[in-house]
Formats: sequence, C-alpha cells, structure tokens
Amino acid sequence: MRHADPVAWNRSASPSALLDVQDVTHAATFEAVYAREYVRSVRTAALVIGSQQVAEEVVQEAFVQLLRRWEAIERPEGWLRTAVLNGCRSWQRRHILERQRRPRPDLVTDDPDGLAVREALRVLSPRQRAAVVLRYFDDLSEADIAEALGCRPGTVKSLLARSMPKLEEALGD
Amino acid sequence: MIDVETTLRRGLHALADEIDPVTPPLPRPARRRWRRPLVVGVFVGGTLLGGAAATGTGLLPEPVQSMFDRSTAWGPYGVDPDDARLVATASLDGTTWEYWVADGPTGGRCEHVRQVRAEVSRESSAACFMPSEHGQPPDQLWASGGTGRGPDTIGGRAPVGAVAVLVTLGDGRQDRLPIQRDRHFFGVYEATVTALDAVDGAGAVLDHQDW
Repeated sequence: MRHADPVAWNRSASPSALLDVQDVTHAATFEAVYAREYVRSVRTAALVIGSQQVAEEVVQEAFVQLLRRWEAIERPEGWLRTAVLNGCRSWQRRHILERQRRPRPDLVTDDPDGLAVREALRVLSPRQRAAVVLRYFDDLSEADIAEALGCRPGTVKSLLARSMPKLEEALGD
Repeated sequence: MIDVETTLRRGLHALADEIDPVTPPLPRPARRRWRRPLVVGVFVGGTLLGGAAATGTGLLPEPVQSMFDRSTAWGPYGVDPDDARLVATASLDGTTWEYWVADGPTGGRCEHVRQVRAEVSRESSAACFMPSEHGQPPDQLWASGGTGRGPDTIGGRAPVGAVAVLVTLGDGRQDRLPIQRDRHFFGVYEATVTALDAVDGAGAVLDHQDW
C-alpha cells in the first residue's frame, strides 16, 4: 500500500526538534555556555537594537548556529558575541531596506539616566550604538570590540570618538 | 557639564536591569541533511532484543536518562522521559548503535541514538516529534533518519505483519533489517539510504517509502 502523500511521511520524519550531539560531555559544555550567556546576550542585543523581543529572537538564532558549529569553535563566548551582533546588524539592515516602521522600543525603565540614555542612543548609527553598548555596558576593550564587530581597533576608537559628542549633546538636552 | 561616560554606564545598566528574559529550553537547530560521498562500508542488521533494558537492571543508563530529560523538555510533545526504552540495535565496525524511543499517550515521540563500544557510550543524536508528525496508521511505515558527521542511521516502526524492512542504498545494494521490539527496525550505514520496503513473510511489500 502506498501512502496517499509519500512526501508527507518524509516530512513526518523531520522532527520538530533535533539535537546532534557527539558526546555527553560536549553537550554539557554547550549547556553551560547557554545557561551562562543567554541572559547577558539578550541584554546586549536589546540595548543595541532597542527591543527585547527582537533581541531574544536574534540570540536564539545565534545559539542555534553555535550549536551547529560547536566542535569547530575554540572560543564559544567570543564567537557567540560576534554572531549576536551580526544578527543585530542583519535585523537593522533588513528594517531599513524594507522601510518598515521600527517596532516600538520596548526597553522600559523608571530610572532617569536609563530614560535619557535610551533616547540618546537613537542619534547614533547602528554601528556606533553597538560600539557604545559593548564599551559601556559589556566593558569590553577596544580589541575585543573590534573582534566582535569584525573591524580594526582603530575603527572602534573612531566609532567611540564620533559617538561621544553626539551623546553629550543628546544627553544635555 | 554632564559626565557622559558615567551617565552612559548608569543608564545602560538601568535599562539592562529591566531586561529579564526567561531562558528557554535549549535551541532547536533545523534538521541537517546533506549528501556525503558514498563510502562502501560494512553494515550489519540489527539483532533481536530481549525484553529488558540494556543494563539488565530495568534502569535507564544515566546518559540516556539525561538526554531524554532534556529532549522531552524542548516542547509540548507529551512524552515522559521515564518511558524511554531500547527498541533496536545495529552494529557497524565493532560499534553497537542503540535506538531508544519514548512515546507519549497523545502520539508524541522522542528518540535517541547512541553508540556503545568497549564500555564507552557516545550520545549521537536526539529528535522529538509532535503527535501530528508521528501519527502512524498500523499498516504503514514510519521512519526517521540521521545524517551528518559519521554514518547515516535509519530507524522506525514497521507496519503490522512485516517481518523485515528492506533498505535500499544509494550504491544500489539492499540490506534486510529484521523487525525488533514493538515492530521497530534500525540500521546504520556508510552509504545513503534511498528507499524502504516493509515486507511480510511471503516477501510481499506491505509498504514502500522513498527516502
């Protein structure tokens, strides 16, 4: 007897969730990175993008990519950070190209500095914003920021130097 | 004059303090399938199992329990990890491959494949299926397979009345897998699986599936 729709059975053989694990120890290490880095990564991405909802999607996709390449990656935290920032950049570019109205920022706070900074970050370009977040929230060195953004340390220095006058003017308003 | 750096740090941390996501279960990578160059290798069909679990004590091996604890939590599959059982084995190059499954009462399923060699186990892959993805009439084949690094695996449940599943490989050869526990079959191959045929005692094809 043939299936009414053979393709359906092949499709049914594609699980909704799949984990390809080489050994238990390896899986445990990935789990540890996931547990340790997930919240921090979402916070960084949310500050860069301006939306926690989008940030969570970006970070989850980054972890999926990390899991696929796990055995080939020597520094998972650094790789993850770059993947998250690449995801943020892709999302920002997609929204510019599609001319979609940006989602209403969902970063909320009652803190006066938080409110001021949230508005001030809007004057920065996406790359400047990422550099500022990595420097003043994640406390990364210029070298680490350069690695995360895929540029030279000199470029990071330039991004930060050009951001500060803009932020000073925006925060001073 | 405003201290920009201090205000930035305070403001960013204040914003971040309000961001408190709930860490979801482990991510779900999409199934990977790619064709590897065909390699002629030795393959051996599964062997009939007894009713007891591999350990002989009735308890799940810890790595198996751990894998099912995690995979059943990936989503609403309705599967209890304690229901995991060993349903089939196969051998390849001196390594025993074990096919474990756990079925939920509403039709969901989680599976786990592991390798055992010289007292050392290696957890290979895990997969879960929603009831809509796993529902199987008793007269039809249901199969799932793994591909990627290492040999390909093919396992599933044969229709009622089947005594074997014929596995056609990409190099044109065919292997005959016996039916093991609860109508399950399982094979491990260096070559790519291209078709499955469940056959009865007279050799008649009960069900065919291209793979």
